[in-house]
Amino acid sequence: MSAEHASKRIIEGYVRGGADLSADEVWAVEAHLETCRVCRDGLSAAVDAGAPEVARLVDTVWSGLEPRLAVTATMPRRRRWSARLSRWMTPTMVPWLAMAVGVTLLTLLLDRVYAGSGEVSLVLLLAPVLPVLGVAASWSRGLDPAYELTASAPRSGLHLVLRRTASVLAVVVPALLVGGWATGVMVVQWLLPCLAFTATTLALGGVIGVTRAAFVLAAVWAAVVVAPTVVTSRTTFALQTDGLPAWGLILALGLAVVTARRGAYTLLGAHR
Amino acid sequence: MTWITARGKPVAGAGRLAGVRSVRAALHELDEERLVRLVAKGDRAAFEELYRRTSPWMVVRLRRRCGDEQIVAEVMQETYLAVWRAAGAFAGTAVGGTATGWLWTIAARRLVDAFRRRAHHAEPPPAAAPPDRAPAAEELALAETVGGDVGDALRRLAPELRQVLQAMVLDGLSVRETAVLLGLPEGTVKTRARRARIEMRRSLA
Amino acid sequence: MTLGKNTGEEHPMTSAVSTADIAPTAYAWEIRAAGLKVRVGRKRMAVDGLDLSLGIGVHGLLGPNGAGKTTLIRTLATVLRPTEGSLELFGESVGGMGEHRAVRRRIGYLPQEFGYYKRFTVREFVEYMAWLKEVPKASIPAAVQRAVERVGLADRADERMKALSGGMVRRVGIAQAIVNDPTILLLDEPTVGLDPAQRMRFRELLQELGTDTCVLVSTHLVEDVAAACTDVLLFAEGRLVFKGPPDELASVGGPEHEGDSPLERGYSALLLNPEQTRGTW
Repeated sequence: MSAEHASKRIIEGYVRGGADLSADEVWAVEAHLETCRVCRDGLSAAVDAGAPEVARLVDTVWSGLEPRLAVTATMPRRRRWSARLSRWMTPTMVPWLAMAVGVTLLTLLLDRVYAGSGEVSLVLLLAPVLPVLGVAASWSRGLDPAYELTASAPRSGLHLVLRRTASVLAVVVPALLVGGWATGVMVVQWLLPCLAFTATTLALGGVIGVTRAAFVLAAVWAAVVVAPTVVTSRTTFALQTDGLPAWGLILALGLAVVTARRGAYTLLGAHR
Repeated sequence: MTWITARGKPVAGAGRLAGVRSVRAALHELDEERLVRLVAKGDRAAFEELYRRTSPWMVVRLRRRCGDEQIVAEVMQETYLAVWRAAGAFAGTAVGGTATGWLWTIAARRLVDAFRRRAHHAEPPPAAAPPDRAPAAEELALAETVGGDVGDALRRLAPELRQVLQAMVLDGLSVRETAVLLGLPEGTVKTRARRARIEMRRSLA
Repeated sequence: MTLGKNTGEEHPMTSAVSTADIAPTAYAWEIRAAGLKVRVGRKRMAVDGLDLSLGIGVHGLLGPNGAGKTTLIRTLATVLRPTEGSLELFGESVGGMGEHRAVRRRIGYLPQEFGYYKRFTVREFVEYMAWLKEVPKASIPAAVQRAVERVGLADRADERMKALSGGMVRRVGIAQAIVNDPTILLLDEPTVGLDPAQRMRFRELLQELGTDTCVLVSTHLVEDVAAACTDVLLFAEGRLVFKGPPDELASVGGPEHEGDSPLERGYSALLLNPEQTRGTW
């Protein structure tokens, strides 16, 4: 950069203000001074030498600034991780996700204990419902105090929906993986219903409110699938491998509806 | 003026002055980004060094946009105080720019805010637009001015158009902020920016 | 040495300013509603046939409780969809089912029930909101610092929100509303909890904002309206009853109307029906 510094004439003309320099010289030197320390030091020297009013202003401002430094606190060290985490889930979701993990482990324990009685796998029964409750927690008006502000933001809508759902699944799916592996259930057998239920909750939630949709679907699941299975100790059709293509279809439909109605998640109604 | 060392503790060494001088020399070596990082930790000596290095430039640049010394002083105070308070938040976000670059960004926005406050009191913003004069040919060194064509185009541009371009390109202000800074309606700013672009394109074509 | 900040570009001056920024403004009013109706619940039309055009300046929204002010502000903030009629923000129609991201980036909103995360510090909360509002990542720290300073919370920027008083919390709400430098600012009861000195500072901030922003302030305090607003909107039972400068509202009232100030008397004159005797709510 040695050939590309501003000359003394230009710097002095710039410092003096007024009409000494032509327009392009002013523009060029201003752009240059922003990046070049050498020329800034040159400017400081020119100020000391020939622009007393500038030097006076510099000192006046410093004399007003210095006493305030002692009494003004600087920023303490920041917790970077908490800022990143808050982009993926609301602060109130964390205890609920912990609960979801706890429930899965409890299920695993129960499954082990009741291993003898029938072919019913509790993991299969529970898998679809867990993420649904997590999704409900992330959209619940009661659990998210800033729900109205969140709904009014540009980033709300599909973007935020996907982020929060992804974080719910990121916690629930590994827990279920552990549970499934320990009880010998095929991954796809519980994963597909799990995802299908999540998508359906979101899709229905766009119409009646995500938390309501979650409770409705959980209740339907409990009534239609869980109760008969527990009572008759037989896996119903919905849980058998033959039922998987139907689940796949439901998943695809759910995703389609969510994408098509993405504007619904920017409204207050989705937070009911 | 007493020199405070990096952590506010006296430096032990071969004579107190020697220690102080070495700290001062060390600060002098650092670039502005490192200084900001030190300021984030509460280092007052680093802050003072940053101030000494950048304030003359800042004053000169601000004075070219605002004739009122009181406003310039106010903007300077607010800018440097903001840097002192929140250097930790700024450090590391000078994406694609320099520390002095965003120092100017902060100052420019504070200047616009100061004009907004005064606009309410129905005082015209005391900005100054100096008239232009082409320099003598022998004074031009290619390394100091803009490449010939662009420089000529700039010089030929009408001053009010150049003012708008300067605010939007050099100072990085938005249309609304430029409107406040120059005391013009937004529509006028947009019209002049469009005309400036057309004329620059025509000159450079 | 090259021109402008983008070294290496062909003609940085012509490319640094985007065409969209300097295209002529396509709209006359920032907020324009025609025949706007918004249903809340199953039967009630909270906003019932509203025609409104609002431009740059500070507009005060006054009206009795239950008049539909909050519903109107929510609709303008695009968190409620209009049932009938048309609503245009920046010339774009916002009645449909889209996400309206571009429009929302230019809006600032403070709800009446301002919910926040207690464990966040002021700075962290405003940064989170800046992120939600898609402020460019590099500008977030400077924008947050500026917003926090403008509301006078610079000294408490790193305290947790649960340690703040009600008035300070409200100011944090105002800070998050202005952090993205919006062109439309919607404030629902922003002065709740502020003491008189803080309300004066807030009025100064409003006047500053009113130079280049369309601000709509819904408030119960008539004095706020009188001092800071360029015009006043009186809203009752979902309809606009009055729109004009505060002096005009004050001139409508006379000594026979209830009220302690000219504006209050004008308010009573237009809103309280004559059969309503003193003492009824």
